[in-house]
Amino acid sequence: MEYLLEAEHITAGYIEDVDVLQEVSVRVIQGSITGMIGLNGAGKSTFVKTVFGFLKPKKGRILLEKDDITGIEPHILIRKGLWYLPQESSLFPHLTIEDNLLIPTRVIGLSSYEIRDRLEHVYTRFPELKANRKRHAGDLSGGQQKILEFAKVLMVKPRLLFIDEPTVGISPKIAAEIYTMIQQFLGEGTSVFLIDHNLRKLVDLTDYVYVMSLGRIVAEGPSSQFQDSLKEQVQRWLGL
Amino acid sequence: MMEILVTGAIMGTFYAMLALGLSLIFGILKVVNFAHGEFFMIGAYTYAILTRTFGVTSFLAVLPAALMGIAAGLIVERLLMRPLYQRYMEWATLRDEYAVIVTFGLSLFLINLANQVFGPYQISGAGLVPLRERMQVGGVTLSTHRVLASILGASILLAAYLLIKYTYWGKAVQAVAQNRFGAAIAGIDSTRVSLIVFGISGGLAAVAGALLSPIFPAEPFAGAFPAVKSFVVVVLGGMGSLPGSIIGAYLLGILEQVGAVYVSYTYRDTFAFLVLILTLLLRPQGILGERVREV
Repeated sequence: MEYLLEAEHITAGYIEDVDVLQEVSVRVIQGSITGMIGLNGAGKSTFVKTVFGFLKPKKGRILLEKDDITGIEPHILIRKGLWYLPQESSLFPHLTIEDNLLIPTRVIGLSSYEIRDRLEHVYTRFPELKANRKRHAGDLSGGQQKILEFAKVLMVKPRLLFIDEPTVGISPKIAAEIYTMIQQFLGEGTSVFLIDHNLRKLVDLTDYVYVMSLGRIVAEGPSSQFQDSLKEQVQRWLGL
Repeated sequence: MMEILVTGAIMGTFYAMLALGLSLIFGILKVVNFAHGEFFMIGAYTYAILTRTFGVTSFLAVLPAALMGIAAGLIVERLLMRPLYQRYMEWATLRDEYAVIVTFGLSLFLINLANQVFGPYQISGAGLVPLRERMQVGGVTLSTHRVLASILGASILLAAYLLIKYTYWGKAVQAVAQNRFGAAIAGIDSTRVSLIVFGISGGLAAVAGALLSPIFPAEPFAGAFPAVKSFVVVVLGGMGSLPGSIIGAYLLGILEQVGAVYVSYTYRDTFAFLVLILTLLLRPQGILGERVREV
């Protein structure tokens, strides 16, 4: 089996004596959607931030196609094909929508032809972004801002996309659009690592699921095995 | 009145050069650089010594002054500021006091270093043209040096502003200022952005120091007053707002001139503090600043 990302025995924390992550091992298979669930404060977002070099692990290593990327700074990881859609906004509110779309393309070194092509693709898919392209990103509604963040993914076409709670605080209509997009990313060569509170949706979308509790992986397995009796299993894992 | 406006606008240009850099640094690091006036002093000394001691042509001497300011900015960023923000998570927990103490300490160090090296004496830079020369602008008779210096300063200011507004690296600077975390995961190297900002900031302040050195000579404390004025301008314009800084600078320049003519020339420098107090009382977010404060 070909692993795109392998995080091995990661122990990390924000301060000296407190390990938020303890011996966390996660693998993402090329061409798959991998999910992670857990209660608030379980360490899910901390895990992604550790992969992205915001936290240097005290122990363990992270491999991207066998290439050791442990502790590498985020702006370098972006060039290696990783992308991160965090729960909080990653937009630049006082720059235009078009600038928000274009800034990452410069970083990954696309040619002007590729940039034009991808921008046209994004504008065809999201005509509302094209209509407002000269407006500040901060002027958009919460749902539209989320769409813009996902449109940025279409501009960079990463190899591996980390998505943290993509549908929190947005309307069901846009949430449905986002879940459709996540599936489409896979078809465009982007593997996905998804953190979501919507357990049913997460199990439906993903191929493999990790369950995290108090900084540890307490269960894992193919999503298909969680399809039935999901609620009971989750309650058992999380000790509820 | 025309004379007041023109003279005020000339001073406003130099305040803007200082305030733009200060505002840029505040924008990306959310810290106030208390050593900003010393970039001004470095430019003033470089220009004054080159033109007076080595007889370098005035217009040519502006370039090394700018380069010295840029170099000073780069060194300060690399050695003193970078430990502040090397990692986002550490940045999130960092305390502003570090920046205050470090930049304040640096300011004292550079002032005393200048005092040791050059002594407490004033060195006037040569004018871009002989200082006695006068010219007519809008029916007002002005020092030709001041007019040329402000045109040169305004051109550099405009170039810096356009660079920040329209180039990739300028947009990267804006991006880091608006969302540091978002910038990191958009692939922007915030370390390089900080370096660029300190370079621009140091360069602008040094050019202002150089161009003003024929009027306000180079001396160890040369940067103190201009720095205080630029702090006022940044508060007046709105912390971190670049257009606000430029508007605030011209406004302060003109207000000072109005006060000097209609109230008292002796108290000219106190008007800046009056403006600061009134701004904080009536519009604490400044002219173009946002009324937001992180807790």
